[in-house]
Order: sequence, then structure tokens, then C-alpha cells
Amino acid sequence: MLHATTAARALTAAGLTLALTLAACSQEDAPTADGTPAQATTAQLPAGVMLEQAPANAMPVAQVKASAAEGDAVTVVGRIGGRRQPMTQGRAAFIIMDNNVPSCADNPDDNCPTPWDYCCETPDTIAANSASIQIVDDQGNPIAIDLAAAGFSPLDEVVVVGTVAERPSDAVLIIKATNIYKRAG
Amino acid sequence: MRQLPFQYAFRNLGRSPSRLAASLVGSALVVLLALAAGGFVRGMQLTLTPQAGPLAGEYENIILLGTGSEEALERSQIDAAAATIAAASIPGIREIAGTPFVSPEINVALPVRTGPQDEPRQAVIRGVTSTALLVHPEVEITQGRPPRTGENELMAGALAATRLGLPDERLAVGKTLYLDGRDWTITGRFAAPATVMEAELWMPLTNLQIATRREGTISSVVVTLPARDPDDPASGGFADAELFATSRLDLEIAAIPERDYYASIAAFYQPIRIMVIITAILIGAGGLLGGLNTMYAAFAARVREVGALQAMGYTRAAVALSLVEESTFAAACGSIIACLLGLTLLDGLAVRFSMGAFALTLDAPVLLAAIAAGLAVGLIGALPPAIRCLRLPIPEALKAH
Repeated sequence: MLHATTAARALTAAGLTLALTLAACSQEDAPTADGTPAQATTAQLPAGVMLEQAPANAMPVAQVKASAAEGDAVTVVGRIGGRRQPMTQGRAAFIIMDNNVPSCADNPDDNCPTPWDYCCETPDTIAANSASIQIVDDQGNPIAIDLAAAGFSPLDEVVVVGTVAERPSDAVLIIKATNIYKRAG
Repeated sequence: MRQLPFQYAFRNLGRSPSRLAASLVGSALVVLLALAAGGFVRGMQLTLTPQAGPLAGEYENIILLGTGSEEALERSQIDAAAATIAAASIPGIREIAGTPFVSPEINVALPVRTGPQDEPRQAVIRGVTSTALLVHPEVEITQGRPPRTGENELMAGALAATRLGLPDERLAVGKTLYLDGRDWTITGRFAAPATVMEAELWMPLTNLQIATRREGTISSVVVTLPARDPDDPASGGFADAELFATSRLDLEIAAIPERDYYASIAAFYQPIRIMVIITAILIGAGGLLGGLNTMYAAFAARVREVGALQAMGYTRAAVALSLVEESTFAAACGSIIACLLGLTLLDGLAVRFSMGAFALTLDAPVLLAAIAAGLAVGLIGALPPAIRCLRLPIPEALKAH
């Protein structure tokens, strides 16, 4: 007759082994912190788009958003962010936030896994201090590359040179960028 | 090695009808348990994972929903104009006869009653337009007709009754449900196998907007775009949908493939599925150990027979093989009985959960796993007792009582 203690130990060991195995199996395709699958490929922007030095007279996002009109040539500085997924997958486009707005990462007590979503700020603050950047080709269409694969990350500070696109409302600021500078660090 | 004929093992099964019955019932119960657990896990998995339809690989649905609501459509609120703007702005939207596959929808959980004074039951209601049937081709109207805008009418999914905890006939065409202070007539029934939509109530978008006092907002816009190559993020229409979402910051929307949305929900329920599997395995292991005890007793009574077989020249391995054949054959019969019972009683059984309802699904992988479990019970249940039984030297075995 099988001893009851031995049976209990066997059951417990079997259950734990299975739990570990199943938990390990469920870890496949684990997403990165921002919810996107990890990208193994690399990409590069066309030659001449990336600038070696920061352009002069860059303006904050909020200032441009408050004053720019369609067709204006602008130079804007800001940080990539503003929502959980600030960079478009498969297109050279992203959202930037005004440098004067602190991200969750600027708060040492904040352990937010996606600090670039600026969830610490109100929606109105995010709306007033954000802009959409599209790095375009000669035809004005967003370049079809994934900026994450090209070395850009959320909270990177960038300076963008481009032209203001159509503004269906004051809350929309789309900049068709021809050049971009990424600050190191 | 000289082996005992299979008929020997087969005939031995009938020597003790009660012991045979115990083996059949034991293995059948283990297999039934495996079928129930496997059917539960499989049914939930299929419901929460959009299945490949006839256009899989060619088109996919993209959901435009409120930023910050990527995990719960019920929390999403976006401008109702987003549907029109999206249709005009996103290139490559699938269309038929000039009708773009753009479906504005409201997803909301509301209390419904069978009568004004009856207890409220939480229903998942989807407000849709006619394009919803284009965007969701898996939805098939099985009875009646779609509800009309402006009328107090709605349509019930095949598992909506399970979701509400009502008998299915209570949601037959012509019956009414009490919602928002008035009766709503069920004009049709629909099926959407292996989707969460099958547990929903559908009504015209405008009617639901009025009922929920949200005339200017909706939950989401579902658009059908060319499918993306998983290895090339730049391909397909999703990139254009996401570009639209990140350009029109005034709409405060995000774009997510429908498949990814339900995959995130499925991941949320992964611990439950794991617990179900672990529970089934532990209970099955308990059944296995019970079978072991039965086998120990059965073989202990046959020590003299085993000794006699060895004295006749059969090796221990041959005798052990015959004992295992006997046990495995009984377990196989029990497995078949359990599979027949499972397919009759369990397959298609509706289970309610927070997202709606799903049906237990006993498909080929589940049946295979359950039968394998049953055979394993027969195999593992016989080996230790057989080995123990064969340990005795032949003279001692022949003198055993």
C-alpha cells in the first residue's frame, strides 16, 4: 500500500514541476516594457537626414503649437513621448513632448514601467505640449522604416527641422521633418 | 524473449469483474477530468484568440480606441467623428461596392432584466452599424433579422443566454429584455463561434448611444486593412493606421491590431488556464495513485500465478509486459468510454466568465491529450505493482497465499 505521506510528497513535487514548466512555456514571446515585440532588425534613415550638430534656434513644442500655421518652416526641440507607444511601428513618425513638461522618469519616486507616456500629467497638458513628427521623403510621405530599429527610443531628446502640415484644429500639430538631430545620452 | 500471448492478458480482464469495473471507472474518470480541463483551456483560448478566417494573411482588423484603454474596450471613449475621419484619412481600407470596412462601435456592460421587477443581470452589449457584419465576417445571423435603428430592438448571440444565466429559449426571437426603462424585442440570433462576440447583445449604434447618454462618443472604430507581415513592421495597413492615430492627437486614439488586443486579454487569463491544468493534473495524479493501490491489490492476489508462469519458463520481463498489457487495455477501454461521454456531455457546454462566455471545445488535440493521459494511467498504474509482484524468488512466489 502506498504510504500517504509519500503520495502527498509525490503530488506536491509533480504539481510544482508542472507549474514551473507551464510558467516557463508561457514566457515565450514576452513583450518589451512598452508592449511591442522586441525588434531584432536594424534600419537606417536615408543619408543626409540625420544631422551631426543640433540646429540653432530650436523652439519648444508648446510655443510652436501655439503659433505656427500650415506651411511654416520650423525647428522644434522636444523628447519622444506622450503616450505608451509614442513611435509608429514601420514608419518614421513619432510624438514629441515639450522639454518643460517633466516625464514620469524625472520623478525619482515614480516606478512607472512606461515613464514616456507622461501619465503623471493631465490630458490637457499633454495635448498642449505635444506634436506629431513625420520624417518624410522627397514626395512628402513618411519614410517606411521603424525608428526603434534605427536607434531611437522613447525619451530621446531630438531637434527636428521641417514644415508644418495641415492643421485641422489647434490641437493638431504635424511637422513634416526633413532633418533630425538626436542628442546623445 | 518468449512472450505471453495477448489473449492471456485479455482473458484475465474478465477474471474479476469488480476489479475490471474499478479499472474502467478509474481510467474513465481521469480521462473525463482531462477532457474537461482541456476543453476549458482550449475553449477559452480559441475564444480569446481571433481565428484565421478565409482572408487570413490578406486582411486584418485594426481597432482604433482611446489612448490608455488598450486593455479594455469598455473603458474607451473617442469622438464619434473618428470613424468618418479615419475612413477618409487611412489609405488601403478594404471596401466592397464603395462601402469601406469601417465599423464604429460601442462596447459596454449594462444591467438587463427579464422584467421590470426582476433581478438585474450584467450583459455585454455592442452598438454597431451595418458595416459591423462586413468587418466581423465570423458573425452569422442564424435566426430572424438585425435590429432596426430607432426601434427598441436587439439581437442576441448564441451564448448570450449563458452570459446572462438564463435558459437559451428565454432569448428566442420575439422575446423581450428590459433595459434602460423599457422593453427591447429580440429580433434575431447570431452565431460567432470561438469569439467573445457570441456572448453579446447587439443593437444599433444610435440606439445604444441614446440609451447610454453618449451621443457624441463611441468606444472604438474597427477598420479592415491589408495584413501585416510579422517580420516586416512597415508592411500592411497597420503602420498607416498607427500613423493616423499619432498624427491626429486631437482625437486621442491609439491603433492596435484586433489579434494583439485579444492576445493581451488571453494573457491576462493565462494564470487561470495554468491553474486549471495544474488542478486537473493533481486530481489526475490522485486518480493514478488510487489506481496504483487497486493494481497492487490485484497483482498481490496473483503472486502464485506469476510464480507459475516463471516456473514455466517465461521471463520476468515477459510476465511484466503481459500485466502492463492487461492494465493498459482496460485503461484504453475506459478512455474510449470517457471520450464518448465527454463528446456527448461536455463538448459545446457554455461557461460564463468576465469577458462573456465560451464553449468547452473537445477538438483533436484535447482528445489526443486525454487519451494519452488514460493510457499513461494504465501504463504507469501497472508498472510498480508488476515490478513488486515479480521481485519474489520463484519458490516463494509458488508458496504464497
